[in-house]
Amino acid sequence: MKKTISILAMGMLLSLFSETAGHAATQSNSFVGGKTSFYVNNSGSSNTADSGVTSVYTDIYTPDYPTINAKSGSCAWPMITSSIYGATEYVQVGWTDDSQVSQADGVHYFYEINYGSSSSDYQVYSSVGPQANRVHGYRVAKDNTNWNGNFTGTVDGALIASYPGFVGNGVQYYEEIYGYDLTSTSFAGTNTNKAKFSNLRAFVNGSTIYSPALTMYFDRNGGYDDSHYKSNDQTSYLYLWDTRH
Amino acid sequence: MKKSVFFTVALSAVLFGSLLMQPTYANTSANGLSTAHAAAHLEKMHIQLEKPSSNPKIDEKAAISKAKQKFSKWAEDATETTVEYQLMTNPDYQMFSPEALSKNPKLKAAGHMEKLPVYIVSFKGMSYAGHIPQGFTGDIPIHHEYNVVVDAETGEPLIGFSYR
Repeated sequence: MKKTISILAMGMLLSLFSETAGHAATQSNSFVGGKTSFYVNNSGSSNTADSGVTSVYTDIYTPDYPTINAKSGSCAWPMITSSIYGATEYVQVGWTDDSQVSQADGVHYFYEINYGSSSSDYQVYSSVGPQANRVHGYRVAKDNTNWNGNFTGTVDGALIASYPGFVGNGVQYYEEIYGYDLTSTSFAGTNTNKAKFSNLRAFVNGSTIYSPALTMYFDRNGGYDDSHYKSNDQTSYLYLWDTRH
Repeated sequence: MKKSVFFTVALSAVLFGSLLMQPTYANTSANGLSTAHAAAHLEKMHIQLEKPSSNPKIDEKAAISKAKQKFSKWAEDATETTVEYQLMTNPDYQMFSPEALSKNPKLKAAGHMEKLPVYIVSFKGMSYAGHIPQGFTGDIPIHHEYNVVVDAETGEPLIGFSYR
């Protein structure tokens, strides 16, 4: 009897520890793209202060959808961020591909908003996603031009979600791979057929900024070409791709 | 004797720890509604649930099958699947598939879910990190439950969402 109990206890302990390790230790994210931040004078309490970043937009051309490993995914998005209150808040809209089974069912439009803590993160996924070899327009915008209001997410003008906003002071435009196994999970685009981000815009403190000046960034296997990108130039664009393909 | 006490204490600690590791889901009930979903989070997502007054046209198994097909990763990684039949209102979502709109004239006319009979298929037990900003240094949100809303009149998946 004692032996049975001890084996049971040992087994449960092992399963508990292995589950903890599996959940916490092995997920990671890699990025390629660019970001910038703006001066915003607003503590989040007054309509007379700066309205902050109230809109971000980009067209994304995706030549084909990438290779996905188990428990992993690949995505692309524009995002509004805020570091005004200390903790980072963010809201994004884009596409994500996380299925090894079926590309037709695995690619979804998504919207995610986070209010500065790991327990206040909301995700919405469309039952549909973009077709490959097409351009789609992704926008997050406040439903009014004041410091408050909801952040609405749209793709080609269709609404995916609209949740209470925050005062933004940064924008990001990235491709991202994420999950438990990134060894062959790929960014969208290849050396010969690159993904393209164009018509990048941000609406900041009441003014439209075309092609905001970005600080570019890439993790391993992420490639970018910003030679056609100039700030304040509406014809600018970025190429992004996975350097392994 | 000492060994017995030790193992009893160890077993109790492990069982208590296991309970702490599991996400807790409180049942809420108002106006006859019974749901395992968290009312405060649904409210923030502008999702309203009500108790249906009629039976669904498709059965639960068909709804689960459709949800698994459309969101296969969630289904593959889930350790538990639950289903609720509810009326759902969500004014903030319009991205339905052409099939979902053509099969449900009421949904097509409204353009959004308005007291629509739906199954909420919940895939639970996975641990997926959220999509974070580049350079993020905070605590990464981990989601353990993903929900697929399936039209209970046509069987078409409509939307997926997660908040915990």
